Amino acid sequence: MANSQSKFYGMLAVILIAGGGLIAYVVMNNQRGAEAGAVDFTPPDLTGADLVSADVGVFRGQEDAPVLIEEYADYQCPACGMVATLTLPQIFSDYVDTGKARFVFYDFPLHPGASELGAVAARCAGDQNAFWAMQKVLFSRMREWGTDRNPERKIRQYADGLGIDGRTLIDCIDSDKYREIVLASQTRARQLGLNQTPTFFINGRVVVGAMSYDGMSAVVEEELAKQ
Amino acid sequence: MNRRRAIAVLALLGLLDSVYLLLAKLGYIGSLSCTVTQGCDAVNASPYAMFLGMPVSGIGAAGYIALFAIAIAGLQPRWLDDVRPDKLLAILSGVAVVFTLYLTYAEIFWIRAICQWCVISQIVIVAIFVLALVGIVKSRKSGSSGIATTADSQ
Repeated sequence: MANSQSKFYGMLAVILIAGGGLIAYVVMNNQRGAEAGAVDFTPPDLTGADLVSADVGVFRGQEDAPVLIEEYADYQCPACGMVATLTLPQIFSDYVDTGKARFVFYDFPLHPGASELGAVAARCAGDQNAFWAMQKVLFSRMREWGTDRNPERKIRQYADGLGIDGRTLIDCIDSDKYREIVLASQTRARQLGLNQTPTFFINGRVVVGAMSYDGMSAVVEEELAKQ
Repeated sequence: MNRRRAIAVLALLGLLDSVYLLLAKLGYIGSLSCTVTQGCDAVNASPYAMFLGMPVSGIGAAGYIALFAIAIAGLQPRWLDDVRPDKLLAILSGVAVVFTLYLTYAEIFWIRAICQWCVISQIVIVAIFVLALVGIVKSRKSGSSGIATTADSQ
């Protein structure tokens, strides 16, 4: 009896160690993989349909910059939120705003509802020259507005905080002015065969998953060195 | 006794599953491995993955820890012939089953995506509930309820 009991506890320990080890491996592998795993991307064969134009993305930086960083992200994806708040601000100041890189953001809402609303709201804020500022707020507070019963009210508060006209922003959201372009951007992501957010392309090399500043700047520096 | 052992093992598996989902929700795992179904991240990123401001996977992890603790306590000689651990397990997992039904409904009809890791948790919690109920029924049949024994002896 006591023997069978200790065997049982041994089995529990094995399950715990194996499962915990597996999870730890996935976490560590994800971080390493995202930092060093930039691989060349081969676009899928699009038979019968043209790839949605890159114009559906939102640009930042000079057109002739030597490095092109593209991001496909969802406003309700935690990893995208991490990148937007921890990685991108410094990437913008070090590379994009200094003319070394151009950044393009593509909406890739993984599901309707809050993901689409966030995408439309950021683009509407763009009408008042506040796309990037609103995007950062939406990403950093995704839980707050994403789980609110009245997310538009929250977004309006963010608009007030950013010093842009909240009423105009909400009118824009309600008008569905940007819905089509958001869905076109989503279609482009699907045409490229993407199924995870965030997905980055840095001069055509793809990285799936959250990237740290060190990871992204390393790939950008590599690309700069090739010029 | 074997039923409670099975519940302990299931609760441990459920806990590991929930921790994996929770880590993804908190952003430590870029995206969930989703080989069997499609849309694991869509489900885990949706508003339905939060309940009263807490990640559902975190609530699940806490619940599995509680179930695991009760099952292990129920294996101690003191509680072995007592039906109360089974009752507690049935109540706790029963609540979880109801919550799971709500989440499954949200997955199918609102999010329209299925997350394989959530399905695993759904199967585990239903299995725990059934095993706990079987424990109660069997102890009724054999008349070895801890409460009844105490009452009889008084």
